[in-house]
Amino acid sequence: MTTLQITIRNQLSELGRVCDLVSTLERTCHLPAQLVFDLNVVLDELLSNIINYGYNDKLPHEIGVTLSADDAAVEVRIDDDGKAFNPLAAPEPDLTLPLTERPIGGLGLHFVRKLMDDVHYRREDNHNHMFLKKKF
Amino acid sequence: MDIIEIPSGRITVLEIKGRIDSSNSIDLSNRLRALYSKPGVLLLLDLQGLEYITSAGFRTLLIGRRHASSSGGALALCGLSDKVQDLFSMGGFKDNFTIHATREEGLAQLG
Repeated sequence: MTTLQITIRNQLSELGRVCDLVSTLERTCHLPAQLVFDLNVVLDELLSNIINYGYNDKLPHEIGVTLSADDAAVEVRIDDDGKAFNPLAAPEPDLTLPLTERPIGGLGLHFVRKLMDDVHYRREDNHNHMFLKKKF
Repeated sequence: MDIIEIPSGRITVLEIKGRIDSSNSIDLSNRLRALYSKPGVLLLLDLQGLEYITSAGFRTLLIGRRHASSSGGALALCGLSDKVQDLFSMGGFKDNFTIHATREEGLAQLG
């Protein structure tokens, strides 16, 4: 099992560091390209959600990102001290509506649910904890 | 993300390389808005070099599509990888964009 961990600040410009972390894991563990694609999409969706909508103040915050991989699966853990938000409780977007009438906000979380095999959420000690898993 | 503009007769090809995500989709958004500030502009976005796209990128493409129709122009896409196509299907966007397999096909259809 290989585990990589970084802490980022709550700014979109920090997301490049997360891409670099995914690239490091890809090289170290020889991850399939399709899995790397899914990881990059899911991390951008969840982290941008936290950075853009997760805080009631304009103060700097830290977000923990942990990636682990063995030869069967990749696991992602995200920890933040933003307001309580369970992405799994967000409603599924109605994809049958015409585009102009469709709220686009739920799309990112829809991708997260579709691209990952397991998604879990826990609120503990005033922190949000997301756990994701994708098998090879 | 790199955006390379290639004029091809009446059509402008935009080659997009790298990723379109929440940190850079604004750059593509601004580029599309500037290009559609003139009426009747025909754009073909070649996504062959695209590593991945997130919901922020889809939002940008939808806004681009709106700019195109309100300015009497057109927006078409080509060069989508299988993974990118999967996201278009997942998001229910496949019928909302004009998607060509290759740049040649896109240029022939748009022109």
